Parts: sequence; structure tokens; C-alpha cells
Amino acid sequence: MHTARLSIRRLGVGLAAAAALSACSQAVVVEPDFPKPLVEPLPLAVGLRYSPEFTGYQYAEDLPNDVDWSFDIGAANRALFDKVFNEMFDRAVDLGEREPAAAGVDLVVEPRVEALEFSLPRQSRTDQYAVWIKYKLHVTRPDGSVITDWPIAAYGQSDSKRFGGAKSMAVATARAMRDAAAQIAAELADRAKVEAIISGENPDTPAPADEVADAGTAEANEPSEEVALGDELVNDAS
Amino acid sequence: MNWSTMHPDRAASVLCLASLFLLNGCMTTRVEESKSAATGISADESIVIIESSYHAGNETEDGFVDCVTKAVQKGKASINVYPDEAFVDDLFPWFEPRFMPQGPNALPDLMARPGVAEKIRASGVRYIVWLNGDTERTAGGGSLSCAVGPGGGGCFGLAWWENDSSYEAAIWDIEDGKSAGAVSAAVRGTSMIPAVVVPVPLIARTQAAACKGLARELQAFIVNEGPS
Repeated sequence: MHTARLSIRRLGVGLAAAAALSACSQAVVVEPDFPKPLVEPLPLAVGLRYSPEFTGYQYAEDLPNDVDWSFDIGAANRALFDKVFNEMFDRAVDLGEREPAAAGVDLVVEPRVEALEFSLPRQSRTDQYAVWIKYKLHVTRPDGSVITDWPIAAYGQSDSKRFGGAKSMAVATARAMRDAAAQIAAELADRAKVEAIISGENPDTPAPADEVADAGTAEANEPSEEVALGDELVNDAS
Repeated sequence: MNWSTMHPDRAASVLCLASLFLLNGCMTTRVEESKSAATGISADESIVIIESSYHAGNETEDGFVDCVTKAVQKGKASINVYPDEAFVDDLFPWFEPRFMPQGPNALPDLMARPGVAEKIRASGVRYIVWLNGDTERTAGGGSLSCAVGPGGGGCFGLAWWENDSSYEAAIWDIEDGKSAGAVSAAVRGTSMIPAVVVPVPLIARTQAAACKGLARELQAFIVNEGPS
């Protein structure tokens, strides 16, 4: 009897603690639902390499004198990139553990989340919840040579008056992810530029950094593809 | 008005309306339009109402867009409104905040993109209405304190604040590929809460008034072919 009473007391304390903890934390989960880009697909096959860190991406931050915030965007990450690359290319293949050559793809994209930041209305002194996500797309040829490391700085905000709390933050996060997808789609819509960069046929497009290093000093003054495309994309984002 | 002969239900309604009137703060409203092209809309055409980009510093509240969208679909001059979220999704990524056209001059390039003109034609959207502006608290003051004791509680004092709701709707005619003009609504109002034991809030709903004024003017602007 004594044991049973103790267990009930422990259960009660546990439930109270769980309730208190849940009241002091906000969990942001983004629905994996994104629109199809309205662009003509590139006549190429792309291999997608998703790391477990990317498809299971979580971020948590304990704010002083405030609730704790946690973000779970792993499933949405995968849905977003699946949707964008399936629509932007003739064929998109989830490589898993496979070698790109065996999958018959023209290039390989490995997306990463470099950083996630957010701000609350009380911090920005506005009515907006805001989220910044920095992605990086590591793009290689099937033989592993680097085409580019494409940085994407995405931003989203949501009016605190419409939903408030975790729901508004989730909307802001989804908008930041849409912003990333929009940048990828808009950039890849410039078909001529993309094809020239990938094929290396454009005389204005410099060779990748590793090839430049191998080729010797005569070509070493030319900037690498990675720098050229990366700079342009960074400038577009700003 | 003879209160003694009035039906009790009707008297209650009048009292209710009177109290609602008293509970509103005072407001001044200014609604304007400038028209640069003939308009008009047929029954099978619609408009889409989109808030301008926050990348350009616009902070129009989502709720205000919803309010105007609902309001222009009501009344004698009601207009069909295509859902903004569906429109933006259908045309992804060209109406995302980072890429949305910043002026009617961008329309030809936008329409030339693969699939864009077809999608817009299929939606039946004739006009794009871009909403700009927001509601800000411009001033405030006073003090209000409340206390609770064993014998009861109460409040004493006066708190007040002033809100400024200023919005503009720019109307682009997709068929003609140019701006048709703009309508604007600016509402300034002072709200206050005087309290002698019981606080009595007198709220100036500036945003709701701006929504109503802008929607009415927008209907007139689009439906009337000449100057409205």
C-alpha cells in the first residue's frame, strides 16, 4: 500500500514536472509541404545525397528569461529538396549509399544546413517572428570533382498577431525554407548559364579550384568556378 | 423617441448599438484614389490581393490582407478574389517575397517566363492588388492602476494611446500590362481606458476602419470603368 502511494506521488510529481517543462518550451515543426517550381526542367539527371544530419536536422536554443525553443526541420528539408530537384531536372535520384556513376547521374548535390537563427518580436521590437537559415549545396561531378559550394542565405518572417508562439515561428521557418527553394529555382532557371558551368564549355567560366591547381601557373590567375558562381549567388541573396 | 412605447427587444437593440458607439474611440479617416487607366471587370474575372515584399521593408499584417480580401467580396459591388496563397504557390517562385515584381514594368518579363502567362490566364486573375502599409502605435500615456483587497477590487486612472493605420493598394492590370492606379486609406484614432472602480475601454479600431475604407474604394475603383 505504501509503495503504491509512493508510486502515485512520483507519477504526480512527474506529470507536474512534464507539464511545467512543456509550458516552458516551444517546439517548432515545419510541415513538409512545398509548391512545385514553375520552371522548365534542365535536361540532366541529378543525384541527391542526403546526410542523416540534414534529414534529421534539429536545433534548440535556451533563451535567458524566456521559453526554450526547439526546431525540427529534418523531414521538411528532405521534402523541400526532393520537390525542387525533381521539378528542376529531368531526373532526380536519391543516391543513398550508391556511387553516382552507377546511378547514371550528371551531377551530385549534397545539401547541408550551416546555421539556423531566429528572433522573437520582443527582441526585434516588431510584430514579427523571423528565421534565417543558411544552407550550403555541395555540387560535384560524378567523379567527385567539385563544381561549386553554393551558399544560400534564406529568410522568412511571420506576423505574431495571426497565430502567435510556435505556430508563427513555424510559418516563419517554412517561409525561410521556401525562400531557399525560390533562390535555387530562380538560379537554375537560367538554363544556359547552368549548362555551361556544368559542362565547362563556357570560355568565360573558369575551371574548378582543384583542376586549376593541377594545371599549373598559367591558369592559376583565373578565379575558380566555385568562387565565380558562389560570389554571384551571394550577391543575388544580398 | 418614445421609450415607453418601444418594444423591449427593440429598446435593447438601440441601447446595445448606443453602447457600442460609445465604446469606440474617436477616429479620423482619409481615403483617396488616383486612377491612371480605365478599369472594369467581368463576372468570370477576378483579382488577387497580395502583400508587398517584406524584403522591401513592407510590414503589412497577414490579418489585414485577409480582412480586405473578405471585404471586397461583399456588398453590391462585390469582386471575385482568387486566393492569394494558391496564386503564389501556382507561380512559385516568381511571387515569393525575394522575387516578386517590384513594378508594373517587370510584368512583360514575368509573363514571358515559361508557364507564367498560361497559369495566370487559367486563374482568371485580371488585376493584381499589392497591399502596402501597416498599423503603428504613434503615441500613448496616462496611468491606470488596479488593486484587490479583502473587501473587493477596483481600478483608477486613465490610459490612452494613438494608432495610425496607413495602407495603400496598387492595382496592376495584367491584361494591359501596366498600372491602373492606387487607392489608399489612412485612419488615425485615439483609444482610452478611463477607470473609476470599473475600467471602461474606448477602443479606436483603426485597422478595421482602414480595411473597410480601402475595400470599399477598391471595389469602386475596379468596378467603375471611368474615374470612381
